Amino acid sequence: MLLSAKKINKSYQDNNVLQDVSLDIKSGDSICISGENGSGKSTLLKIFCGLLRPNIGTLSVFGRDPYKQPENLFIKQRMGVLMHSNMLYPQLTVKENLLFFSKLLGIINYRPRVCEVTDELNISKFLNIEIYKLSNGNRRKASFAKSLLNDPEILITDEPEANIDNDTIEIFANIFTQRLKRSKANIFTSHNEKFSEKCSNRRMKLENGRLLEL
Amino acid sequence: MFRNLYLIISGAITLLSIWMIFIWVPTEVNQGLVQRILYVHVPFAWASMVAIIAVAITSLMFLVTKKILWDNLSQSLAEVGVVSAIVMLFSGIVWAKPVWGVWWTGEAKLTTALILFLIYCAYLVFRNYFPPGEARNRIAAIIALIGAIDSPIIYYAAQIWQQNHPQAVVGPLATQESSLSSEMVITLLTCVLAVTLMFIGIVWVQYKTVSEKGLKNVQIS
Amino acid sequence: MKNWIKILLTISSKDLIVELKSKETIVTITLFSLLVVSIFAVTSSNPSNLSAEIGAGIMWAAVVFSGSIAMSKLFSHEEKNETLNAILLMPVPIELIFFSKILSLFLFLTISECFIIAVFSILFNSNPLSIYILTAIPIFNLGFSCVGTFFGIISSKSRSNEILLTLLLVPIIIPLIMFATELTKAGLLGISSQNFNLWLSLGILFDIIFLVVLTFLFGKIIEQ
Repeated sequence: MLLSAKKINKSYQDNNVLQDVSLDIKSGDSICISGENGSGKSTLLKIFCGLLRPNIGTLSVFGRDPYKQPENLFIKQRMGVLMHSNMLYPQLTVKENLLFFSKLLGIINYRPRVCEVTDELNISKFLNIEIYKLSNGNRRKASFAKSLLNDPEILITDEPEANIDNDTIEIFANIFTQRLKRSKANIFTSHNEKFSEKCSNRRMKLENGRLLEL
Repeated sequence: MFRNLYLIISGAITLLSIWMIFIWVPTEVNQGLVQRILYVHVPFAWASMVAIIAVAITSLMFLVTKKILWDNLSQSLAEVGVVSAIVMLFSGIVWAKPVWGVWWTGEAKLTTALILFLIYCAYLVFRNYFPPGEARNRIAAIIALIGAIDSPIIYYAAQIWQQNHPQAVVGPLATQESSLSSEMVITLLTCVLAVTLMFIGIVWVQYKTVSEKGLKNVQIS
Repeated sequence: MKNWIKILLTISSKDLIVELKSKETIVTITLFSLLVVSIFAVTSSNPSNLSAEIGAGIMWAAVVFSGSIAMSKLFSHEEKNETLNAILLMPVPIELIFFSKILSLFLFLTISECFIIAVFSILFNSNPLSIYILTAIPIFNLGFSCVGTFFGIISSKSRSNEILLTLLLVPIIIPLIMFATELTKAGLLGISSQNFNLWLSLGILFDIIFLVVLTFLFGKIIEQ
């Protein structure tokens, strides 16, 4: 079991966003979570990647506790995250950003890896351009490249297809399906029917704070 | 029932202490009438000191137990404590001018009191500026703890400072030691009792308001 | 251990590169402190006759206020782009994130203090450079950047972060300001400081206590 969440509850000032959410992710799973705006999709993903803590409930990733150091370092090393915000330094170039994060991830041959990822996403020509000069779509791609750097066991992405043109959505979808063939797990949210159908093998819906399997 | 009884008793003691301060207690020989400020200054200094220690303890309890009652309690304690500190600082300043000849001096206790007052003002400002929620309560408790850790260091620094800089007290009565007569001691103790009862009463009322406000916010959302 | 130092240097050198490109923090600190020092230089009738008492106070007031403004800028940037979250998602021990920020702030402060001392000595015709101020600067900077990082991250999550940071930071570091001012004063007067050892022990004590306590508490303020 890669990730197992049991009875997760999260509330913001007694506004219950998530109620008793339980989920098990095995390798080779590609889970798409849909739901209305504000249904708690992003909150759930933030809890899975460790940015938020649930009020009640337990979470274990790779059989380890994500809230204990140094156990969580093991988890973070094998996890890729793309959230709503791009989480990149706007003053630095794409290359500087990616090199910085691959050093922190402890990737040994980080230079070839950065080239590999950027080639895959077709952003090699922007390598030496600062993030703030890029269009929203290209920023998104750079951020996606960041989450792929360590070839993660679990890839957590929040609306990866937002702001992205159709050709690139195709590239993203390819990456997702290829990851499945190598039995790595994906979990993502999406409003794009075509994209989610193509990339997922389990579909779920968040409704009134509860997670339902479709 | 208990509330009324409490009000009557503390009200009676307050009236008694006012009578003692203004009529019963004899005037001190060296300082004159000004010395009577002490009967206000000392009890409020005591109250604010208790408040600061209590805020640190309740904050620690909140961090350990995560029960909201401790957080509400430390907020109300800090609010009442800051008000007591204002009374203490102001009465001290007014007393110092005729007795020491200066409004303010770099004496260690004064410096420490002033800075602690500033720290707990910042604590309250933080509580109002930060978006409410569990994170705010946790961080507020941490700030209170840091303030508590800082206070002995401030006192230590102020003492070294005082050694370097001889007292700037030049008033006519600056050097004369004055001892308190037994009537003065009794008056002082009565005042301390009155202020303590008042302090507990106000903290209790404030605590109830804070918790009700918290509940109301929950209902609205 | 070696790995730790590598991560520490990676994060801090990233901060330096960002700073070299935007120049925001250093420009804020130097310009603001220049302003504070020149207000006093312009308004005193004879700047050369300024007493050491007030001079040392002016210098450190300039450092403290410009430093706290620059800090709040630094952390509100991180908050806006959620880059702090990005680092939190990396396999980096949380204490290292704290230490790396302290290291970067330490560097920024040192650079701007050199500038302030230079400006001060020109405008007031005095020479503050002495063994005392050279001991005071690293100890002050360590404590200031330690407490500043802690409160900077706290206040970056609030709307009025500049005011909040200054309000929280200044009263807490008062002992450190007293320490730095006393040593600077001794340097300006060209005499040996009374209680030099006591002040030194106070400054070091402050740094050690806050470094240990805040490192321990850092995880608690990051948690959401």
